[in-house]
Amino acid sequence: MGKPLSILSLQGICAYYGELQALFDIDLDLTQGDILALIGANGAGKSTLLRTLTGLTTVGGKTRLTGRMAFEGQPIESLPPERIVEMGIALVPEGRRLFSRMSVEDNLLCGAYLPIWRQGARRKLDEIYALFPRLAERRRQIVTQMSGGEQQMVAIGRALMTSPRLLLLDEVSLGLSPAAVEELYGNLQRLRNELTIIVVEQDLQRAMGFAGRAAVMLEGRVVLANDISKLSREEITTAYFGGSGHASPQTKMPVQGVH
Amino acid sequence: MTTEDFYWALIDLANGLMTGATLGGYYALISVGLALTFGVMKLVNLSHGDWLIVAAYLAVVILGLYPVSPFWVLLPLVPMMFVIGYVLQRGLLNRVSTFAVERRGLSPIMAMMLPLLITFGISTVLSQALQLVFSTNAQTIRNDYSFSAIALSQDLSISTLRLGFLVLAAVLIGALALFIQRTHIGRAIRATSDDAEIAALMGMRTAHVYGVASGLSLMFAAFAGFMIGMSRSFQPFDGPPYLLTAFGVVVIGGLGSLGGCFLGGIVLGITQVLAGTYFGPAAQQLAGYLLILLVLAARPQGLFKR
Ligand SMILES: Nc1ncnc2c1ncn2[C@@H]1O[C@H](COP(=O)(O)OP(=O)(O)OP(=O)(O)O)[C@@H](O)[C@H]1O
Ligand SMILES: [Mg+2]
Repeated sequence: MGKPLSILSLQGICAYYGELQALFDIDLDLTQGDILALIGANGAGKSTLLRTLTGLTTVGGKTRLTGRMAFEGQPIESLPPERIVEMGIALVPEGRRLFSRMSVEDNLLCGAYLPIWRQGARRKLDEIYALFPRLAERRRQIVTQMSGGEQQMVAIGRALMTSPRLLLLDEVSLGLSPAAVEELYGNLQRLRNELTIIVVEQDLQRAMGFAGRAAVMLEGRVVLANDISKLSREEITTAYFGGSGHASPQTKMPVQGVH
Repeated sequence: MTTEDFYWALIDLANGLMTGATLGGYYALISVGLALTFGVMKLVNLSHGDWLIVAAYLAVVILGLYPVSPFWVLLPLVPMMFVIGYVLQRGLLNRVSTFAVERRGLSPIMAMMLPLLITFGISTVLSQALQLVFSTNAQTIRNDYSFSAIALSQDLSISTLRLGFLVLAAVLIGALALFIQRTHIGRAIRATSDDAEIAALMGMRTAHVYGVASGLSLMFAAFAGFMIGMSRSFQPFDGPPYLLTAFGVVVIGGLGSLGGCFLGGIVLGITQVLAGTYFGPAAQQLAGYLLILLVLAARPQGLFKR
């Protein structure tokens, strides 16, 4: 076997919301098949990092981005979201953000919008329904009439419809019952072999059970990153609370975050 | 009441309902474009009425060059207006949309005012340009249907043209609804209107999607302008009253809803004509505005929106 293929490489990524800097000098490398858990307190910048990877922080004048990002060797730092998704990165956003007036199937079909995906849309739908059998029974239902767990399945299914090679999951278990989280991660297990995944998860136990690597973020920086097998729980919690002395404690202006 | 009185009362009512309904189809077609741009982009297009008049003038010009049966004019007119709408959106309106202005970090007041100011400006430019080119002489699309009517009984008849336009409105609005429900680009229009950021994450180019929505809006303005030209005369500055009517229909039907737009047009038409029948011609306009006020006060989401 040759050297594992680098799928994602970040160098010196900084992101700004207007005057506020949300990401500081992020370096990150993923090889194909990696499952990375991104861990950090509220406001640490996890969502901003995932949004940056999908081009959402390069859009518009209020947000700004510097540094280099490459996906499968191609630079993507200046590409808009609609190009990045075409290249193979899909985000399941924080708070699901389904198209609220559409049925399950219409939400999923939105993921197959681009002409290159339309051909295989039917087959892809069947794959999603096989992965989440609950959705198959409810394909005509309007998504707002579904449980939180089912809605999350739609959000993940919609992202999978874009045939990604890198899947970004932002707090998919937020607000779900333990049983629903269990079911969801059970379904996700089956994606492990096919995809590279970055998962943001507040439940440390679950994150470490699911992922092979972990990166801890604190106040916009990655302060610890390693294989999970080489990390102890103490190391992670220390980094999480900023007690390692690794990062200089930053005081930031409290800003109303949208997400 | 004698039997005869009763008969005439019934005829009056039937006449009012029928004339009102056909007038309603006409109103609906005038309003669809406005409902569409509002529903999809939250764009209040103050130049909507003027585009109807532009389309009517274009129809007259084309028919002047190629004197064929008037309905053929739709063949070039409809795609032409679509292209104008698409280009206008991509070239100008996308840059000043509420969404774009907010993203540039300007104040919410600016984000609200700028599209209004721009479309108001477009309205002025269009009507002035029409006056420059065509002067203020009233124009109409000459046709043989203007005075023809279908007799339903001895005392009851209906204008052929109006009936035709009611059917046209129903068919076109139905087709548009299907298009938006069933096609990929239709789904993209719905997705983008719901959450533009997530739509972009699905590979949808919002600028293009908005362009298509504006194109469709002006495409319907082409049908409506043709209809106006066929059934009455028009002048360069006739746009704003049509805009007002369209606003009324959109308010009654529910902001941005297409089916609501159709039913809203019919309700407005019937209200006006019945008021005219029973309280004299002066009551016609008044009843329409009262209805709009009433809906705004009691059901601001519109009569037909769930
Ligand atoms: N739209 C925005 N405008 C301005 N500042 C923002 C915006 N979104 C996030 N921020 C700020 O950027 C920083 C990082 O936020 P981010 O949402 O990435 O954190 P997070 O780690 O995902 O937190 P959480 O666990 O609460 O989801 C925070 O200080 C936040 O206030
Ligand atoms: Mg977050």
